[in-house]
Parts: sequence; C-alpha cells; structure tokens
Amino acid sequence: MRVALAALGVVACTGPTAPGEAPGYDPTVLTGGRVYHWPLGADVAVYVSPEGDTDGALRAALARAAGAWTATLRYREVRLHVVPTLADADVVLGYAGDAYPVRLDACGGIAIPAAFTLLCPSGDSAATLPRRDGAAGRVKVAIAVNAGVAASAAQLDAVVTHELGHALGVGGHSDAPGDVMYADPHAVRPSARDAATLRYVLHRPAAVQL
Amino acid sequence: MRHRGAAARPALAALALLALPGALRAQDAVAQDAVVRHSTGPSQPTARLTVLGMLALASPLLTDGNGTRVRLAPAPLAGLRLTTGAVGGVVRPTATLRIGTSAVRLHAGAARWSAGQALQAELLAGAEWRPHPRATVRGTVGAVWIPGPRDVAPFAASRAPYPAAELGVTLRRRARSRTALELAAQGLRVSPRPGSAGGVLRVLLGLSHAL
Repeated sequence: MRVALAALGVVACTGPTAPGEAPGYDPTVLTGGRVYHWPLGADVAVYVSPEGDTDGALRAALARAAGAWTATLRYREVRLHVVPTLADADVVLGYAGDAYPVRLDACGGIAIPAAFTLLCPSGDSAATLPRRDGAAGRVKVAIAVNAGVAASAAQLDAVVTHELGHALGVGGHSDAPGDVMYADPHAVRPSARDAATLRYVLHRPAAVQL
Repeated sequence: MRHRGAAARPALAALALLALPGALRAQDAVAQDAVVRHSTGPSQPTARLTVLGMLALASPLLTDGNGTRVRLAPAPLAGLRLTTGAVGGVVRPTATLRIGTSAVRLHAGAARWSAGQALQAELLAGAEWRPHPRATVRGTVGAVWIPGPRDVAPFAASRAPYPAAELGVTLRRRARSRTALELAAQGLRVSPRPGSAGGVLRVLLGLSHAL
C-alpha cells in the first residue's frame, strides 16, 4: 500500500516533457523580422492551377512536398489538402504567366522574393489576393513557378518544396546547400534544420496571421 | 425429599445466576455474529464480476518546450472487474479491464486545436480489502494503452503501453448494495521521444454494479 502511494506520488509529480527547439536559421530575414503562419491546427486548402500542368507534374510535386513538410510536424499544427476549385483555396500553386489565376501584383509590403511566393499583409492578417477573373475567393498565398526553372522532376520537387516552406511560414533562407530552404534549392525534402525552423516559427506569435 | 427439593432451589438459583453471565456472553456473541453477518452480507461468493462505467480526467500527456501541451478530453470508460475469493480472509485478488476513447486536444498559448481521437484500454491487477462494511479499498498495477494519432507526439514515437499504478475506493450506500460509487487515482509513466519521461495523473470516477 505504501509502495503504491509512493509510486503514485512520484509518477504524478513531474509530467512528460519534450525539448523546445531553436530554428536552424532565421525564419524572418525576408519579412523584416515579422513572423507569419497559419492558425495552429489549420487545414489549409491548396489549388493547383492546371494551366501548363498537362502532365500533372506540378500537382505530383505538390503532393510530395506537402507530405514531406507535414511529416516534420509533431502536433498536427498545419494540415494541407488539395482542392479542385480556386474558390475553395487558401493557397494557389501554378506556373507563372498570364493565365495564373490570381493577381501577383496585388500588393506591396511583404513580398517573398524566393521565387514567387507572395502574401500581402494587412494589419495583423493577410489580405485575400484578388482573382484574375474577378470572382470572390479566399486565397492568401500565391506560389508561382517559372516553368523554365524546373529542368527536371527532381528540380521541380526542390522548387515546389522550397516555396511551400515559405507558404507555411518560413520567411527566410538557409545558408546550407543541403537544406531545402537554401536560396537555390537542390534538396527535395526538408532537412532536420528545415524541420526545426518550421516547428519553431509555427509556435511563435504571428505578427501576420494567415 | 421435600427438604432436599427445598434446598435445591437456592442451589439451582445460584447455578442460574452463575450461568447468566455466560449465557449473556453467548447471546452477545450470537448478536455480534449476526451483526457481522448482516454487515458483510451473506457468505461471499468465490468470484464476483462487476460492471464499471467511469469518466477519466487526465493531466497533460506531454508538454513541449515550445509551449504546446497535449491533453486528452474527459474519457468515458466501460469495464469489468473480477474479484476472487479472499486470501487469508482479508485481501481479495482483483483484475480490472476498462476501454474508452477521447478526443486529443492541443493547447499552445491561446490557440486550441484538435487532433482526432485516442483509444484508451487498461488492464490492472492487484488486491482489495474492506476496512468498512460500506467501503472497499483497492490497489492495482498494470498497463494503459493509449494509441492516438500517429502524427502527434507522444503517440507518434511508440504504441507501447504505459505502466500504471492505481489506488481506488468503492463506496456503497448500504453494505449489501450491488451498485456503488467508484473513485480512483491513477498514475501513468509516459516516455516521449524525443523528450523526458514523466508522470500523468488520471482521476476516475463513476459507478459499478456487481453482477
């Protein structure tokens, strides 16, 4: 009886813990020190523009990139799913050009120069990007890929994974070529440093809430 | 003859007086036995099966250094308890099985979000004794399985059961009541990876009904 009570007391006193993490690199260099990310627990809808994606390579690259990034998370902080219509999308991915479905010149302010990831801060949130067709929408982040940048499937994977990292909240670049958030990415999956950086930024108070 | 009979009456009276305390004590013993029998009910069966319905409240399963806490929502549990014959007339071996589910809830600052459901299954064994006709105290040890969402810590790292120790009490309104109030405090040891092992306290309360 005394042993059971002692065991209960010891067991209950100190709870299980996991260590906090430092980022692999500064996730706010490109955003003037401002943290941005989706609300914790958000289910983010992504639309892949079919323009120029006749072989489905862009859509396939997005699926791999989304799986790779969500696998780095520990508490389901963000979920990604593909939607078939622009009207239901929070994020758009497509090849840059006249057919890109939202206006890429819609705002000033924060502009992620790492190859066409755009969001427009509006106070402490992000503005909805206007659709090119003028219809109502709810897109907050636009990812545009220059068709000439991705010379191979692997390079397309690297670029899409890199840009998706920006779309999730990594507003900076790594200085290590092995990281997918390196300015000129060749890695196709987030490294441990990339993962630590995303996990870090998601748990910082957001100056811009997507 | 009359003389002997007359003399016998005082002797008989004296004998009666001498025997009275003994008789009274015997009567007392019978009464006490009756009280004991009444208090503990009819002779206890060799084994007894009890159905349980309880609610479990738990402290956080994990606290992350980045400020996130993983918690289980209050969990309804259904179960069975088997109690066998007394050992040494005092302690009865007992085993308990309980099963339930609850939502997995995450907290980080003001943010709250859900991450699906976690099953909870418990198997505990130990002993109980009855210090009072209307109360039973129970100490058990065993394992608790909580397989939760595979993309959420601490469930992601391991599906192994958590070691558990529990102290419980059953309270009856009357000694012979089959339905009773159940209260228990349970400690689990959770070892997250990466992370440091620690204790989770669960408080369980509910009802039981002896079959």
